[in-house]
Amino acid sequence: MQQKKIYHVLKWGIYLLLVLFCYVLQTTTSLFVVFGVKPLLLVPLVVCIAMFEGEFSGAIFGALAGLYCDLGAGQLFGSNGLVLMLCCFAAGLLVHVLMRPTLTTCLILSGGTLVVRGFFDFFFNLALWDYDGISRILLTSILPVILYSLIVTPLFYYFIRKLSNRFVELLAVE
Amino acid sequence: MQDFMKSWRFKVLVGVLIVLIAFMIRGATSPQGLAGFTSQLMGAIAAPFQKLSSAIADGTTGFFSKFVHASSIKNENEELKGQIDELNQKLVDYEKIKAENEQYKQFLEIKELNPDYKFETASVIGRDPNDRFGSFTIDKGSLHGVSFEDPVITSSGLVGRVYEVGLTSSKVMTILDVSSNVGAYDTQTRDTGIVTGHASIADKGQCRMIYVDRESTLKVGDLITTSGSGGTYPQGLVIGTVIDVRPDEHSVSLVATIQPAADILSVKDVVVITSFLGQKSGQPSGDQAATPDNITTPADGAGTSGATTTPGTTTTPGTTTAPGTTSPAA
Repeated sequence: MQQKKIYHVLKWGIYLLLVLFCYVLQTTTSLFVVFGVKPLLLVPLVVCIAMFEGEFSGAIFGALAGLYCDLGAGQLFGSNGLVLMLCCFAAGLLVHVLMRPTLTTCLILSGGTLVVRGFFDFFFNLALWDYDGISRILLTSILPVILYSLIVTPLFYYFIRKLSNRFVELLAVE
Repeated sequence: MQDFMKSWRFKVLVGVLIVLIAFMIRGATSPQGLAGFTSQLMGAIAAPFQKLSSAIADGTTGFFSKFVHASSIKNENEELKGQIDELNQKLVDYEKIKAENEQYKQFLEIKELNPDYKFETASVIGRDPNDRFGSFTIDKGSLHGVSFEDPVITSSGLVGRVYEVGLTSSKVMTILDVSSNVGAYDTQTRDTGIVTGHASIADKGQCRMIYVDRESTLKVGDLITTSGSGGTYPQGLVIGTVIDVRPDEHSVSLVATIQPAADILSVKDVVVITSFLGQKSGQPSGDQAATPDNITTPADGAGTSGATTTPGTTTTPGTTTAPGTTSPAA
């Protein structure tokens, strides 16, 4: 019983550290920059956590990752938290009741979350303020970031699946 | 589903949702510049790791470039490889020290010309993929004397201003940002305007000077500096040079494209001016709030010549005397 608790603490601790680690990597200057575009690592990470750990855990980690996104980008604190929390909750729920946790599902859910987040970012931070030339930002910044983030999504999928399965095995043995 | 909605998990999620909405309301209504406790805490946790990660990333980049260089030399002269490696390393160190020395020398010149300036050097430790106007995080915060709206420069010129302050880190909004407005004037023609970002050119590291009088003689190659109006920025900081001038499609004024003197999108080390004569403190307005209708006279700012800077009228600007600054005309 005591061992089971330790495994639980270890699992959530690792997920927490992963969120922090991905935030640091995501914001590190000159890291993973391709044609001036950097990927959003936190979004695929928390979508994968939601897929394998359920909607509740996904929502909590989604909120945390969203807050870190807000922190990094200097956007209204809580806005990304809200969006990612709801998206991860939906992703976890969809995998729970409708879809299988495959790579295709992961790409669809990550893509959907990235698009929703990008749309909210674009609409509330740019379109609503009626700035000139924002379509260029959509094409040269927001869409490439979504695409780049989708490309790295399989890495998170396989890593989180492996991690989650390992803890399922450990907890089952106990 | 009904079971879930009655469970403690649902209540926790509703609680988190309420907290997030509260964060947003607080963020939207409270005065800008002072990050909330949660964001300060999260920032404080992440900042040391970001600093470490940036250092490692920079070091790795340096290592690989050095490796490529060494291997090409190896092809040319195998037996001298070790020596060349050593000399290259020394050369890298020398260049680094030389650049740093040059930078400090230039800052010293600025300091000598403007004894009222107080500086805090800082390193860029984070750039987020969500931001498309080059905003970044620096490794200095309120514990180091950095405060809201402090100007941020390099030895080349103005970079932006601090818009959020944590204990050990701060966020900098660059002059490429569409919500940044800097009162500016042309040192040659003495025409005034507002330097602001524009979505279509921000990715090229350029910004625009708007509200320039249609009758002005602003031309390509002119040097643009801060006017000092509003008290957010001191007068005479170099912003950049004019690379294009054309009539504004939406008004009767001219609009100029500015190539900032500082390499804003890839800057790694900056200097925060934590204090200068005439600095406005703690107000989320200043130059940011300046419009053609409410531009104040330079006398409101620091070290100004006292002439009116309303667009279309003449000022008595200083002449450029050192990189990153100008001194007021006698």
